[in-house]
Amino acid sequence: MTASLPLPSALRLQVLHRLFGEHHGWLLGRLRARLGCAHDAADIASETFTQVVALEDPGAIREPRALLTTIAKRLVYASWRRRDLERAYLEALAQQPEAVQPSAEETVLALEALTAIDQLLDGLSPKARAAFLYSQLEGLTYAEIASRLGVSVTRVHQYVVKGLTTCYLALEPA
Amino acid sequence: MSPARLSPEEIAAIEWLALQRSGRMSAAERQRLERWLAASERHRSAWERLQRRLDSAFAGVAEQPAGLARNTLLSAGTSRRQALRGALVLAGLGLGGLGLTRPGMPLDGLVADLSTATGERRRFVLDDGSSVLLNAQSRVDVDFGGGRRRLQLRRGALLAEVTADARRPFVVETPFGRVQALGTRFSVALGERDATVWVQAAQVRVETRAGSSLVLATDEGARFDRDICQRLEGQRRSEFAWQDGWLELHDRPLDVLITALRPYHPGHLRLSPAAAALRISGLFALDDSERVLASLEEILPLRIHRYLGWWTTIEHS
Repeated sequence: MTASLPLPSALRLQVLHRLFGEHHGWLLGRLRARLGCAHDAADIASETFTQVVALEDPGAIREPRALLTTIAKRLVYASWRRRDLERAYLEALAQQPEAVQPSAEETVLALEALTAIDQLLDGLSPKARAAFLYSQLEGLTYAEIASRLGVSVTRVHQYVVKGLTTCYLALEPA
Repeated sequence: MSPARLSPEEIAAIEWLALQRSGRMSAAERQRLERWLAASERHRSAWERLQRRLDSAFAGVAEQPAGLARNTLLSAGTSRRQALRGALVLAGLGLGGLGLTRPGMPLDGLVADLSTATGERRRFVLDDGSSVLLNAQSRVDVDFGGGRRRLQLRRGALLAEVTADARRPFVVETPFGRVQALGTRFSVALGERDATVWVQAAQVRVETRAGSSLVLATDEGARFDRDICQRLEGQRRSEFAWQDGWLELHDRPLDVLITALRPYHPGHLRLSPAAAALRISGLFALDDSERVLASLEEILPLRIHRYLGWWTTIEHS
């Protein structure tokens, strides 16, 4: 979520108010058509405008609808990713022995952590992602990873370097 | 996102860590790593930074049962959605294929001929002397060419006052059907799944897309969707009498009030399904939406939250 919002001056407030008035309904309509769910559309539209509110200079926006569309697309994609992760988590959980079923709260925390990691790994190819995770989470040797993925050990090394680089850069403090 | 560049020490640290994890680091290589670390403060801090960032990122999954985090992240990684990413289209222009003619979807072109803002009611006079009063947040396109008098209600509601012209029927079109004036004063309101007509003077004919039709007389009203047209009880008329800015309800769901209030409330107004079902009666001033909400909090079991001045959620407490 956004950190601290800049204090609104009267003019800034006016600009934001107009942006909202002129474009929120439009964005909501588009999202409803695309997502087929009014609830999700409302959430995404609201979050989109939260991000707009946090911008440095809303008055400088030349193409509001293009900007809103870009932000909304990113949010829609992120929300789909979260759903995919949740489903994958529940499936993986189902394969665990009964004894380790987590509480609801633990699940929420786990999903948050997993979503954060998933975002870190954004941009890695599926094999690079797999190689990196086998190494990072389970400490498998590259020989073992290589045989699982059907690639050479050298390739695994490259994947891990790629994974480490991607994570390291993504974790750069803002 | 600016392309970040790694310093030489950072690149080296990553390579060393990758080698250390491989499971086949030789003793000689271990010594070389130690010499590299000892050689410079910058080497050491790059190494520490790398470890620290990774540790903090993966701390959240450290306690999870073996394989759970890995399986989750791996199977989510191969989901179909990854493939769809490039195809995700929410084009601001070029709207082909998005179901534009779906009923109740306000097809807002970037410009409508007549439109009003939040909280604004406005009367427009047309070429023939007829006038339309638009409710707040409404849009109407006007087509008065070639022997036609046609209004397309794209969003919200209008109240039409029609001058007589035998040669040119006055028609209000909606995605659900059309309303033809046989008399002088009537209103049409567009909802998500249907439209509503109320006649104030003389008559109108309502015709749905599917072809069924109904003639309404003074003080009569009906709701219609693409297929059917249904008369409404006279008492419900006050629910649609927005033109004076007042809404009168008799034991109706809160949903009805909030729907009428939305075009008058700046920002987004969300109503939970549980709250929507609460029943309410009274006279409400649409032009003072804040006061209406405040009074709702007093008379109904509701929790109303306001965020950033942009949206308000109403929930059953």
